[in-house]
Amino acid sequence: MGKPNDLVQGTLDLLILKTIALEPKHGWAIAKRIQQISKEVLQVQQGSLYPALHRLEQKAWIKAKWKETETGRKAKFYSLTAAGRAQLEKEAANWSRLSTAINLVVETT
Amino acid sequence: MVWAQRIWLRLQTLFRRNENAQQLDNEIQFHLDQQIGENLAAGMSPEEARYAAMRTFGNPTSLKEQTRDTWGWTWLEQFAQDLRYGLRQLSRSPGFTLAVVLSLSLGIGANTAIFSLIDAVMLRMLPVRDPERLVLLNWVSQRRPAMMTSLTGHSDNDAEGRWRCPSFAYPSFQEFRAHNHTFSSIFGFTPFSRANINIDGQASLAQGELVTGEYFSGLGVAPILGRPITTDDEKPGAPRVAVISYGYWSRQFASSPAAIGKHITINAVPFMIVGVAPPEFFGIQPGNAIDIWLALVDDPKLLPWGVSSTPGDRSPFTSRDWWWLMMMARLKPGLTEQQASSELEELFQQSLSAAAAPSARPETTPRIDLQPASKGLSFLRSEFSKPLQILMTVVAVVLLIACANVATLLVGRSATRQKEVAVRLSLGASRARLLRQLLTESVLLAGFGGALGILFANWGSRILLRLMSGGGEPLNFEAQMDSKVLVFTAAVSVLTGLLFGLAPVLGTTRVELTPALKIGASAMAFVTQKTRLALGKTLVVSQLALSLLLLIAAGLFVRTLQNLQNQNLGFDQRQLLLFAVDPTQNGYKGQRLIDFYGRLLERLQTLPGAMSATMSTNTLLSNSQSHWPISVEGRKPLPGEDSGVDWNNVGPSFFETMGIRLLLGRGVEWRDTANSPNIAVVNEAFANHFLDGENPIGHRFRFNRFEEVYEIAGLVQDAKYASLRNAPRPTVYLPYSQLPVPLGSIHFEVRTAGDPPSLVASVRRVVRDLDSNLPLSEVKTQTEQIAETLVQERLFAQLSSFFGGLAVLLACIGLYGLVGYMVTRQTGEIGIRRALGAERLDIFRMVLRKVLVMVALGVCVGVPAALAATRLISSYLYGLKATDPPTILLCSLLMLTIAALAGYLPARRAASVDPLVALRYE
Repeated sequence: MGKPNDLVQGTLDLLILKTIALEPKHGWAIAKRIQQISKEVLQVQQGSLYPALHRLEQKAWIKAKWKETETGRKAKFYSLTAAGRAQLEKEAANWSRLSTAINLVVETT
Repeated sequence: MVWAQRIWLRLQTLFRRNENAQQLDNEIQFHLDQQIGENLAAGMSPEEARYAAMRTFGNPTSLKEQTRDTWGWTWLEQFAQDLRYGLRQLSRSPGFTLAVVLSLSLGIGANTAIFSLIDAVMLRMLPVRDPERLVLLNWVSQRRPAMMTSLTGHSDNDAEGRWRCPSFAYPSFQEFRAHNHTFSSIFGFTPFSRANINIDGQASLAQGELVTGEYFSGLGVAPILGRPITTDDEKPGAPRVAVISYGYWSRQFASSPAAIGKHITINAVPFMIVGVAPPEFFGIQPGNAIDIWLALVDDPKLLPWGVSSTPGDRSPFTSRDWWWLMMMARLKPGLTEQQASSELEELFQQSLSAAAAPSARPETTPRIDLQPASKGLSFLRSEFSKPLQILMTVVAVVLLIACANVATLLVGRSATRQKEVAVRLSLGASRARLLRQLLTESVLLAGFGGALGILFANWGSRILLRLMSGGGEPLNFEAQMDSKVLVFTAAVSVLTGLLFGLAPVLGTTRVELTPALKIGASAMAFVTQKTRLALGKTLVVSQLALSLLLLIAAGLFVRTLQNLQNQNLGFDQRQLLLFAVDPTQNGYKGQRLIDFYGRLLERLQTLPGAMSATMSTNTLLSNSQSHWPISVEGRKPLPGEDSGVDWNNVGPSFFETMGIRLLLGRGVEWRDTANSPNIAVVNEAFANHFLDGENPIGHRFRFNRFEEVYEIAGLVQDAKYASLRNAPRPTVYLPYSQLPVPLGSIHFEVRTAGDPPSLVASVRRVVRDLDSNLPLSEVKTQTEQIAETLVQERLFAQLSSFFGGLAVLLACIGLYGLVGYMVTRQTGEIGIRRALGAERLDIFRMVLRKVLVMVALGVCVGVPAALAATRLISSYLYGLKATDPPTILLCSLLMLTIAALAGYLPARRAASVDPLVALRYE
């Protein structure tokens, strides 16, 4: 399992889930979105999205559908399932707890 | 919910792999195109745009692989790959594959065949409902029970040397049945072998069993047609009914439903067939399939065990001192054997005290001993379990040799695959993955071997059964391939594959890449080569040692058989026709029976083609004999001496017909009748033991338990009586009309001028003329009779020779292969030697010396192993010891010769190597 640059696997899962929480997106759009939002800080090696997407799909947290894009080409769009939404909430809560804790440690020392 | 979804997704990825892979390709292609589009829009050249897109994406092939990994079926995919690849590899070298599969299938097949018999005899459960709740009732006693005067049945000694016997008095059965609370049912049965069955005027013999009413319901066996025997059929005056077996139904009635309700006679007693047992139900004793079950009723023509008269005219159903009925019972659910046993013990003691006042001597009071009966009665088990275990050991050794042989072949082959392995390793295959690949191939080979082995086994177990029954009473095992046997075979195959596959494989993946890649496949890294050779040599030496072990065992068994067959019997076994009749079953008794026998013998003696004829209760070498203690008049028995003699009652001209030499006096003649003085003829062993070798004529003796006194009228040479293994014991021959006990069935012996079987038809005619309702049984020649007693010996001799030969063959193939490989490897060296002036003979000697060293090592290991192992079979040998030096020497020499031959061919090839070619070889 290749590790995305500087990103641990669980974090990548969280980013993916969050990114498609609002609307279904295809792989390239997800990669772009993560880069944009994080102001180019998070450099995801684009290809490593796919093993992660398929793993999440196997876990039934996200589901995929082939649809036409605005340019008329067929692309695979990923969206959250109910189970995925629950997972997102759990992971987001976990993350904020963790980052708060790390912030505390970093700032107080 | 999510779980169900996940399983569904998993299955989808399994069954739609190709579609999914295609979609993944599309998905990634779309991604790249989007990125390229963006790059172009940013002003890059098409070339640059594509390149940049690829860079930000990563290695698509590797990423696709990672993605597929998440689908979770990689192991299966790889397994399928390994299988396909393995099949391709194997089909590329068909000779190798064939050799391996054949030797494995022989090994696995032999194991499966023996195991299927072991399964049938020793392991299989009775085909009845909940067999594990069935128990067999036994009693055990230190001494012969005081309240038993007559016993009919099997008895043996248990581990503590006590009597153990399953026969009980009928009243005990009634009391057990009426008063027990621990069994849901209890039923009795007794064999009724050789029932004389008459269907529509055709008389034939069948294997019968007399059973009480709860037999079928207690076992939980429902007839496939008609009804079972029930308790109503036991009542006095009830019509006599019988249930027939499925096999008997199809043989005698062509599976016609009209068989139900059919009237037949059994020993001239009318019966009606009321049911047909299911096909899988053979009775309760493996190996002794029952043809017909009869309701147990009081009838003098249907006595238990098929005996012709009751001891002292007792009624089998009321007498408490004649024990003959066997019983099984089914435990109530939730109750243990102990609980049942203690309740039954109480009932048994009550039953015993009803028979006689309690004995003062506790060692003669029997106690109840329950035995699990889930596998049925065990009499056959005890007879065959040891031989089968010995055979199982033999075939296990054969399989071991086959494994070693295949491993040797694989070692040679792994050399040629060295380069392939090196390439795959350098391309990044992991060692574990490669190991798995190679092991898959081994297990694949073993799988083929196993599949073919099942075919061999099917065929082999049928031959084995025939060998084991040896033409006598057929053994009716259902030795079919059931699931247990198949599981055994599969397990053996997989284990075999791992066993022979592992050794060479471990060597194969330990490759030093650079030299293996650089140099050709024929000359590899020196270190691995050396270990591989050492491995090969060890394998070959152990094969040779193991096969020598089998060869020696075979030699011992063959010489035992020879010793038994070639000894002096004391009579002439050639051209003798034997048969038995039992008119007592048709009501003949006393003087009428004696007259019948006399008339029949007269007719036989004048039969054209018969030189002479006689009769006797026991035929010679039939494993049956009678043995009673006697007292000789005017002689005090020595303290502690065995005063027993073997006795046989015989007809006129017995000694002439059998070819037993008369030394003094006369033989039994027509003038010896029930009214003439009692006479006897004795053998030399008798004269030597009881009369210190003096002339026995005129001496008188009597059997201790009877009043009749016999005067010795003749002395004959010693002859073997019951068994080939025992030396003749003191024996007396009595005229058939002068027995102290009622006469029973009898055997006739006819010495024929020509071929004995040619006389069978006219003998049958003679018997039918006298009584048309009297079947002949045990029709055979004396030679066949002797052959029957040697069934086990012949079985051992034939099978061990076969497997010994097979083992040597396998070992020699291994040796040949290894030496061939060594020669190929040394071609360069041989070339140099030849160029430096070595003669052909020198090279030849060099190779052969290596062969002989291996063989000598094999002998050095094999002989001590044989000395240790053959001790286990010493009780089966005759006329020689398990450490018989000539046998061991002969087998070792044989082994040396054969192995030297196997080494000769590659050695000659080495000697004829052309030095020029050899030097150019590298």
